[in-house]
Amino acid sequence: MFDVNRLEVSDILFPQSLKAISDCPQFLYYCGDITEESFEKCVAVVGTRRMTMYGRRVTQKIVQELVCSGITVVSGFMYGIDMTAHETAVNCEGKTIAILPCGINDSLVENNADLAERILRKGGLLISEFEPDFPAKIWTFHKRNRIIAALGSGVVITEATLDSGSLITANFAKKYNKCILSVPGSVFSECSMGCLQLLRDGARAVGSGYDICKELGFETAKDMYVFKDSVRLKAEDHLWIKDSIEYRIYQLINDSDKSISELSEDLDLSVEVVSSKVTLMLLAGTICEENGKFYV
Amino acid sequence: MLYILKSAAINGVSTINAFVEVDISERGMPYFDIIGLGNKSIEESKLRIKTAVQNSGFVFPNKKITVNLAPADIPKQGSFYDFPIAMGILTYINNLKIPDSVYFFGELSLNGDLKYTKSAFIFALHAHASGNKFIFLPESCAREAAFFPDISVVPVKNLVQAVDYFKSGLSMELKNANPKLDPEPDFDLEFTESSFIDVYGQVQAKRALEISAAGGHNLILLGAPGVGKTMLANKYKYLLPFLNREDHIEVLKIHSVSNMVSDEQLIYKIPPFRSPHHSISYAGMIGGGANPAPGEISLAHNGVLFLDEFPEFSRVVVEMLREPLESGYIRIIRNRNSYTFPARFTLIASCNPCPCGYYGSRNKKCTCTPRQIMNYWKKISGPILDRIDLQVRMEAVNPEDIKNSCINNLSANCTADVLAGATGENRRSASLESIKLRVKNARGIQQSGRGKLNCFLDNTLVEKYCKTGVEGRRVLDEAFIKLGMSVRSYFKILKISRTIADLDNSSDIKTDHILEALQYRINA
Repeated sequence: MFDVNRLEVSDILFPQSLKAISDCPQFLYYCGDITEESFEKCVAVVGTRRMTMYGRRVTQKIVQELVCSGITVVSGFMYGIDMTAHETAVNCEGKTIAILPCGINDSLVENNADLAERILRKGGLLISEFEPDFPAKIWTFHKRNRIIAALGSGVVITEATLDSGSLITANFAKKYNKCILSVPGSVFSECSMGCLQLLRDGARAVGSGYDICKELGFETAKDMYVFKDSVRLKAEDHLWIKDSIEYRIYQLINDSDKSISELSEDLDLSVEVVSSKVTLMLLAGTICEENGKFYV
Repeated sequence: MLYILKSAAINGVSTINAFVEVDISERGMPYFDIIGLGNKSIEESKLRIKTAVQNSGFVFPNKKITVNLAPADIPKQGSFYDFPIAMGILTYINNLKIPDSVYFFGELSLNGDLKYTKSAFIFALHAHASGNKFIFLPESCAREAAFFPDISVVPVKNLVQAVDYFKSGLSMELKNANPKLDPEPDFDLEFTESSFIDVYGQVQAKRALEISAAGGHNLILLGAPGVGKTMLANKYKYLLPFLNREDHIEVLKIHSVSNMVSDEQLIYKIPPFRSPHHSISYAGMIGGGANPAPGEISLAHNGVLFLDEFPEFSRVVVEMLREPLESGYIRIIRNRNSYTFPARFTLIASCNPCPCGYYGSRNKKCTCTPRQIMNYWKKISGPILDRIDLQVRMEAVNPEDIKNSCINNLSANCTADVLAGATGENRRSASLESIKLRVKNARGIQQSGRGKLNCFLDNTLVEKYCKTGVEGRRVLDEAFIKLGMSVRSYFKILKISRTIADLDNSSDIKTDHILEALQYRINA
């Protein structure tokens, strides 16, 4: 159970960006510490629930870059892209705001209590316009999307199908005159069709956190940081390439994600050699693994 | 007149001495009954025997006939008592003299012919072990029984022929009646043809199969539909060395009580490969029934149990595997008796990453909700996954790649190599012969040095045999923390490293072996 507080629209801490919209909620329920800076420099990152590995990687990359530039990531606390955005922000020790489609003590939050707690621990917020025990309904998702759109200076859609709820968020953003930023994807991928549609309709194409900062007029961080075991490292510093095989593996993985079998075939090396090299690089933090595939 | 014939009672997969006692009394009302805890098929054999004897042209004695199957306190089953009981009666009719060292085995047809009867092998094994010389049995069972050269197998067509044997005093020449089995065909040739060639790429999974075959480790293959999980698993049996005679007899024994033993099984010492469908009941899996018969895990004894679509198996069935996976046998307790069936097998499981099958896939969208995926994985319980040492993910091979590499290598030979995913360095190590050889050597090292396969090493033995260097220990400790391993998986990695070292013919576990072993685990 979370400690839920109520914020009136008249309150000084009530987000200004939210007050600006015509259908502003009269009060918000929230969890965490709201300060005057809480809603400054916010960018919404949303997308489909049925993400592909591409969507996941793009979201991780963009959120990491945004967080390194000191931006708060706003998203919808639903599985898929939203959850990835929150998780990555928390892993990078960044602030993130989750706008819930249900009350703060609903089972949806309870099922992901671990993430919710981590969000709060890193100075983030859980926000809902619904009473604490209010269950999620189809229309509540629709309603909370307007808050996501209103809170962000811009809305980034990293991956969306044509029927994705994130297009609703984009519509709200358009209505509120916010900047809509869309990440292009493969034209063969169903999950990139929504993003393509947005681009056709005039959304800005972005490929990194820098692009987003530039579009929105935020300052970008000079150095990129990565986090390994919660230790902050400079991005260049964690690349220890020890020998030529590791270098070749790194080059291949840098190109696109690879499994051990694929690496072994591409390099024409035995599985034994590739496996042990990959483990070494994994332990050194040069590469990372997800679902049996390796990424930079 | 009392005639006593030797026989055996089959109890699970073991046999005990039994006797068929046929008493034909001159006094009393005509009657024919069988006692001695026979089951329904023995009860019914009265009618079969009576009709068969009459249809063979003999006059069934109109006397009081009592048949006892001794010992009387052990339940008996099977239709093979038909023949000895009939021979008891025919001895009376024809005044025959049957030597003491003769067994009769087989089911009767109403016309007096003998039909194929299962369990002939285990029966012959009993005769072999108890030092008896002759078995008379149906022709179709002769090959099974002839497995043991020291017993004389006499194939018999029908009752008349059997009676003739003893009438004409041929009994001393029976030795020559042994049917000859065909000479062993050149089997290695067939193996080469069905090598890994038809599975493209997937070199890591192939390597995992090799390690599994070498150390007996259980293996789970995880991947989207169509990546070749089932195909690879089906090749697994060809990697295993042939069974030695002791293990071979053990396997045939179990198979003979549950179904017909084929000629291939008798001649080739290939380890059994069982792949039951996921609709299997628990009794089908571990064995059971009113008169317990061995289940799939026992039929896979000394071989492989392949469970395709692992999470689709009912949870009860999967949980049953825990005990046998650890102990190598299963004890089934029913009201009358308890039965112990051997069940030492290597488990190969395959499953999809989620219900739709495409979670984490590059090309296809997964349509499952997290709850569905969670429920899917819940079906494979932790304790079972814990007992599976090797865990490998397989990625779909891009069809374009296969096409391109075929076009680039126009010569037929080249194409075959490319299809086998074997070029250059890989070709040398991926040929089936070289894998088989390494597996054989590695198994030899384990059996001679440790007395058991690496997968059966317990924690104390792991500490004894799986010593690592300082550097290896450091890597392992680092991995333990960074990759979030459990203590059990720590020991698993050591066992796999030991097997990899054995494959490498190395007495020490090198750092590279540990580093490779760390790749055969799934972060769930």
